[in-house]
Amino acid sequence: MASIILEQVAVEMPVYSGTQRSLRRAFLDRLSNRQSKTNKELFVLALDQISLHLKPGDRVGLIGHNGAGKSTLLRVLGGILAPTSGCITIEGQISSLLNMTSLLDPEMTGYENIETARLLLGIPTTRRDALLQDVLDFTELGAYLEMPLRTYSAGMQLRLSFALLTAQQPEILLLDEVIGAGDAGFFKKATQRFGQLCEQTQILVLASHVLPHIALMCNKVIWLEQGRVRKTGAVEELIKEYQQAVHEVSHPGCPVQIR
Amino acid sequence: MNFTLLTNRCPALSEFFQGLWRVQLWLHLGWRDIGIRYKRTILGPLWITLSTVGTFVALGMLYSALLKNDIHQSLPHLAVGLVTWNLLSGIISEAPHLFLQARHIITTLRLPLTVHVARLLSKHFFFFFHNLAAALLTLLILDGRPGWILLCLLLTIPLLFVILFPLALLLGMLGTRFRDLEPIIGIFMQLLFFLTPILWSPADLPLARKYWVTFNPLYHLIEMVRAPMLGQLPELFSLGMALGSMVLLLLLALWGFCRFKNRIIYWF
Repeated sequence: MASIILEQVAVEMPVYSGTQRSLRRAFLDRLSNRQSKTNKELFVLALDQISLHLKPGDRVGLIGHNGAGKSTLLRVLGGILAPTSGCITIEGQISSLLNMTSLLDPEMTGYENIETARLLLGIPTTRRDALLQDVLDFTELGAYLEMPLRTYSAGMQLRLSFALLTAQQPEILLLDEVIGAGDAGFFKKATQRFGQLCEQTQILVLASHVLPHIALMCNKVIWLEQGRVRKTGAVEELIKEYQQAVHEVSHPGCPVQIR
Repeated sequence: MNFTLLTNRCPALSEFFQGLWRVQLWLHLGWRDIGIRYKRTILGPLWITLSTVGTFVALGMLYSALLKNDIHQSLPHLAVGLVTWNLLSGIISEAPHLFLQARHIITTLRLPLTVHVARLLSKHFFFFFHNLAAALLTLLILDGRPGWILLCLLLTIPLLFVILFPLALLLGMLGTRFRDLEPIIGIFMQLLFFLTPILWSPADLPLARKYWVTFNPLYHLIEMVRAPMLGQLPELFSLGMALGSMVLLLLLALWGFCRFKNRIIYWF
């Protein structure tokens, strides 16, 4: 049984400036045994006091402004970012990939990118042909896969990255803003594939600004604001409340701290 | 305590080895790094070999004239020395940047961080093997009889890998936190090129001034490849220095990795 338990998780992101990073600064301060003015450390509290308990069957949508902590929370859940304090317990095989687009290389052909993605994801060589067939069927890119990725249209790149992103079936699926643009035909196909994937996965956590997607796929919403959970609840009411709040406040404060 | 028990107690330790274990991945990424750089060129990665050969042939001829050496002796020495130097300095100068270069992977995919270190090493070892083949060819043309001692390389080249791996890991972590490290290392490597016996031979030094090579670890590392290629066994002292630095670097790297691996992503 898959489960995710977070207790009082916090992520403090240090913001380094040029002077702080320098070895000279570090040495001089050690030598003179004083804290210089420039040595005050800037922190952004990217996540604060996050406690969660997710069980199989949970389809969680993460909503919130830019910078509310959605991606950071996903990184913590995916084991990419170790929190600065708090406790995480995760049971079940978890998807390790949040986003495919940044891993694709524009100079390489479609086939070469698929091979790189296969190795990065740790899919064994025995499943190489199955993966290729799957990607071919879904993307319908055909001979285009022999061309460098930079010759693809945005929609074609999206199709490839989506196919690779959804190539595996983890017990816990984490996704960061996946279905963006794309024509109507692709959207239909993607939703279908996505639906299949979600059915088989035990826990889904999806961060998105596209509220209809959340409404379509999730049964629970977590609303993040300035790194904290503002509210947790049922999909419809929370989305409604969120939309109202978005209209009221357009400039949230920045959670920067100086020590 | 057996090994699994140890890795269970320290997850960072198991990550350290898991990364090394993904051989197919880091070989592929290393090879791709070369491929991307030389895409759409006619000679591809052979450009690197060509430039190395050009350098050691020209420099070999010049320096044998300057130092009045026999080119049959000085050119092989310089060729193998330069090829090995390129491996060492390539890895050391690029290491501070290695995690930064992979930040797009590190921030989206959970992967043992040591994969990125091995990726850098595999790239430079690919170059190295190409260049070493060219150097060997030069040796054959000049003199012609490689001995059984060449088999030594089967041990000493892996030893170089095991020394450079923890070194690159340490420099990578330090370079992510302290951005000055990269330019500093760039300057030092330039200087060390002249301080290390590549263009010259340790035999040229008067006995009282041998400390110029005795305390230069890079000289001993180069000897791991150069001595067998020139038909000699590496000196015992060089071997000792190499093994010593291997143990020291491995311990330092394991400690540093266990202590700081979770912080690396915060330093971006």
